[in-house]
Amino acid sequence: MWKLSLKNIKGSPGRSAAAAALSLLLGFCILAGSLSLIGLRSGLNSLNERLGADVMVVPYEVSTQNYLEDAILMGNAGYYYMSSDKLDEIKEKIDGIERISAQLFLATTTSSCCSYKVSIVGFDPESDFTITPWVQNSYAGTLGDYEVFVGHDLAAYAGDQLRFFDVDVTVAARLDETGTYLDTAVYTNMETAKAMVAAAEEKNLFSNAGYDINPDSMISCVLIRVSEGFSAAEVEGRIKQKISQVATAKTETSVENISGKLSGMQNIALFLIVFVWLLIFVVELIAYRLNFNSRMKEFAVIRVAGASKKQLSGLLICEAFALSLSGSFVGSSAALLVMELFSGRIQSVLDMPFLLPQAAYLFVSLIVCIAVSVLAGVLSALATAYKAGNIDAAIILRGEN
Amino acid sequence: MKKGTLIPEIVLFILSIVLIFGVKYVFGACPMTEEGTYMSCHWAQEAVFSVALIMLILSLCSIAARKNMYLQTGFLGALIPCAVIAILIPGNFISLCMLSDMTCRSIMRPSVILINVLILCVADAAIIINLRKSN
Repeated sequence: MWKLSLKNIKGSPGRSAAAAALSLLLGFCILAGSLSLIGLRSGLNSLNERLGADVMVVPYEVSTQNYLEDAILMGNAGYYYMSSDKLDEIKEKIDGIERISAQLFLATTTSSCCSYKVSIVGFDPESDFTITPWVQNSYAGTLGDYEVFVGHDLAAYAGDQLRFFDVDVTVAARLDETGTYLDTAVYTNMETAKAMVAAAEEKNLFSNAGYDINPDSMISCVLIRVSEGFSAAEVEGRIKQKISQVATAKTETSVENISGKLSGMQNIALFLIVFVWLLIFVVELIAYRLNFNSRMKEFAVIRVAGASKKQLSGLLICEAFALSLSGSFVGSSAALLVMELFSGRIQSVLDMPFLLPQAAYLFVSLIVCIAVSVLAGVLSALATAYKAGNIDAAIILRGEN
Repeated sequence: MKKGTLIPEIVLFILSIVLIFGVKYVFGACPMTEEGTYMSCHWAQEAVFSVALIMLILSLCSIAARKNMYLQTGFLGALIPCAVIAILIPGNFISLCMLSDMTCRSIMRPSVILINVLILCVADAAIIINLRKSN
């Protein structure tokens, strides 16, 4: 039966290609849509894991420039500084802090085309609790002076020499992918970061800052992990009351905002995926019905040749299965290739964390998508297969259909 | 003499045109810097453009050689290493910019890979059809 089905498919390449094209389209749409949703959700989960801190304290100017949420979540590579005394002040006056650590930010300058802004994050390896756990997957040693970790999206590897603001550094490790802005940043210890800030100041990078730049007594943010028994809202409230000239944000709130937007997008995308499936199903149903009308004599000849009703119906189902399988395999594979190749572009266009899952998960998604597409093809052929099995061959061959 | 195929060769011709114009005007690499120099990704773009010109000529030859199936198959076979090299040029033979967000990495390289994978698939399909005809 399979041999005859394949011969029927080869015998009418145009008709077969049209049927397979519908399954190709369905496979492509379902997998591309699903992977987009999965990528957004994974990116957000990855960011949530990586943030590590419960409360982030930044200079007050960051909130007035309306990019506080961007600064936290999307890594708006910019310059904002406050006195390192704020760290000591928070430690002294605020209860409920389990861990606290400061970071110093810097960004390389842009030129008109290709020198992209690279965020440089200086952290204190002794007190840090956000970057260190992440780094442990890739690097077991201690980060020395003038050594850096690079995010996954930077094409630099351990041992490479890089230069930022005329400061030469060595890449110690390339970090695992997170699907967030963290992948485009460079991480170094405070001493190296301070040397870079000093070098940047010599290049007049901070001419519009409006305050004196002193690398030895500056930080960009303070990250706080709240102790058990205290809530992030509580600690944030105390900081707002007792510490002046700072802005605070709960990372949980910012992540929740994005998660809320994502849920809305997810519902719409799911609706569209189901709609596309139904649409293609109906189109395939109509296509098989039209196909049946044009092949009635062929079916009558097969019946007269000795095939049973069941065999004739089975023949049509086999054809539908083969065409759906080949079409959906090509479509789904194309979707997988496109999503893998353009995932970076998708992330920058959406301006949201985006991380495609691991290979095993992708493979399972591919199989499920193919199965769903094949199901549409086979179900749409069922009615026609049943009708084909019940034709009156004699009447059709006499021309009295 | 057995005749070769026509539709796959026309598709290959169109894909070569898309690659030539695309890599120059649509999904090219980063433009000239303010200092008047080019980044290395620009030369990757030029190299892909050159290979795409060769592929265009080969696809035209395969259309012209339709009456001789074996000659046509030879031209199609020559397309395969060209497409493989075009895939390997950006990022492997010629390095691109460091950041994955930059145009050369996020747009040029994936587009070049996608189009050349299509060229490989169509060329392989045409060769298989011709080989089956010869049997």
